[in-house]
Amino acid sequence: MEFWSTLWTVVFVLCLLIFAGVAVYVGVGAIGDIRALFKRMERRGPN
Amino acid sequence: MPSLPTNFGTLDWLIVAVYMAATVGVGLYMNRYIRDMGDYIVAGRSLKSRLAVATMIGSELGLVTVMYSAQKGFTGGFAAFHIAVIAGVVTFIVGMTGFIVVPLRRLGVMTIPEFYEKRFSRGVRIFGGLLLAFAGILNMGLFLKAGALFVTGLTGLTDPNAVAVVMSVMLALVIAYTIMGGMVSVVITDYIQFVVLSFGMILTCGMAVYALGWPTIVETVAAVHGESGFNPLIEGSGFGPSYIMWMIFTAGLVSCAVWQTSVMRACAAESVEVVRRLYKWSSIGFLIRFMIPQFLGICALTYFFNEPGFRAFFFDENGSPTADTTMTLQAMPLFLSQILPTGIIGLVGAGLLAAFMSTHDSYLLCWASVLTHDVVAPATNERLTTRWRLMLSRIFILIIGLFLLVWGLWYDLGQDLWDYMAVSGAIYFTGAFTLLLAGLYWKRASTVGAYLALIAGIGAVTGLGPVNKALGLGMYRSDEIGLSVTALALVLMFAGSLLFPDRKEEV
Repeated sequence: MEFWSTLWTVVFVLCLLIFAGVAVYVGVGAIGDIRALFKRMERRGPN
Repeated sequence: MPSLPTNFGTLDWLIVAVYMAATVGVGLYMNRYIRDMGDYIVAGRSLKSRLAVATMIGSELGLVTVMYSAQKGFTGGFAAFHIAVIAGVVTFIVGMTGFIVVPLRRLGVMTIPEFYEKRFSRGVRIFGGLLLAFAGILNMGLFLKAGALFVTGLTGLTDPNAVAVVMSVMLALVIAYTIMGGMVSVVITDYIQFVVLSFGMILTCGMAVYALGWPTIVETVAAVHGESGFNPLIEGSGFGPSYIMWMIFTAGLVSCAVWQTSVMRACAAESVEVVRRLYKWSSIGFLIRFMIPQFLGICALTYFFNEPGFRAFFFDENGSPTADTTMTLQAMPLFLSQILPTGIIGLVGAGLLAAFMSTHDSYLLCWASVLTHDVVAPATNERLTTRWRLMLSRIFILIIGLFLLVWGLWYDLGQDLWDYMAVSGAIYFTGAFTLLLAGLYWKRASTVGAYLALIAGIGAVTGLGPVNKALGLGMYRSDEIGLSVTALALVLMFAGSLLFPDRKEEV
């Protein structure tokens, strides 16, 4: 049980940290992607 | 049902209202960019990597997933984490190899049934489309019920009529902006959800650990579940080897590469390279969407086990979690209503309710598109104009929405929600997986084999509790039935293709 308890503790903390990093990177970076999407659609003109 | 005082106050209601209004406003504004079916279903195939990742995670991190994962954490302890790890690892492998999703993107299809026609026949597309839409709509049939349980637990709103009104208004808002904005509005609202939920959930985990203490959480799981609360390989834990195999297939492969709502993101990606990046980056999201709610379920277990006043509601006299699934489902939102302070609870609640709407918009759009694009259009020999296709999709969204309202909110199904969802999904994905696997990677796969595999998939319905009992199959668990049906679909595809090859192959 000790092995599994340690394993899940390490996995949980590690995944949470990685996800926090990804959330910042994707959250900030996607703003540029949204601008590009709008620009492309603006060029085609509104409906 | 315990009546607990909640931290959810007027300020939190205000935060929820403003957040919802802003989300819906953005969704409605996107209507001006919709010109054709490509824009409507796959946002003109113009999603770049990071936006695609945000929308993929935002959509998949839905309230229903949060509720069931929290329940799994409550009833299974840390051992439930294996589901999350499997989901993340398999999604990453799909991103590395491009398994299923890259060839699909190369073919330029918008839906999986569209692939059925390209690879097999128009009849397979229509039959597969009907099956997909039927299973998909049934699968989301009880989302509203799960949402209502969440609202009740978090806000302390116990009047069933008030809950019904709140859920109906939310559904109406989703339908309005999905009808108007299509995939573009879905993408933008998913992005907002992604940002709010990602940071909200991480913050909630931190506050839960701070409130309970890590050693107490581990000790409580050990006291309630023993070793089976940590080791998923133990057969009596409710998991075990066959369950793990079933999870590799469902939580892993199906959820990222076969389930239509995920595949739509791959189809909407700008290029094959974006698809690969999308899956590699999303793998952590696919993992965390299970792991964080499971952890919050474990925290709810810890909180209520150590609160003598509430223990009797959630545990039997032996200290085991109650068999009442409504209580185990509500444990997580009830726990959040106790530990999160006013303001934060409103933000997290708004994020999760928005996630509820986000899942709805993706699914509504998905199943309506399948019905229009893969059933009605091919049945009319593709004579439908773009205007008619858009109108039909919007009509289907409205009809599905009304069905959900009746089925999920007012109709008492009287059966286990998790089994219902797993089985209804399996009706489609056991057959669909076979068609994708054989259709993409085996040249001799034939139309007859495809029909047989799809029909075999319907056999998954025997995993449903009442059907299972009526047929005297009670000795088999739903995971064993699911794996057997998948194997049957593969065998029938293989046999049918060899015995009845397509004519064009002979040429």
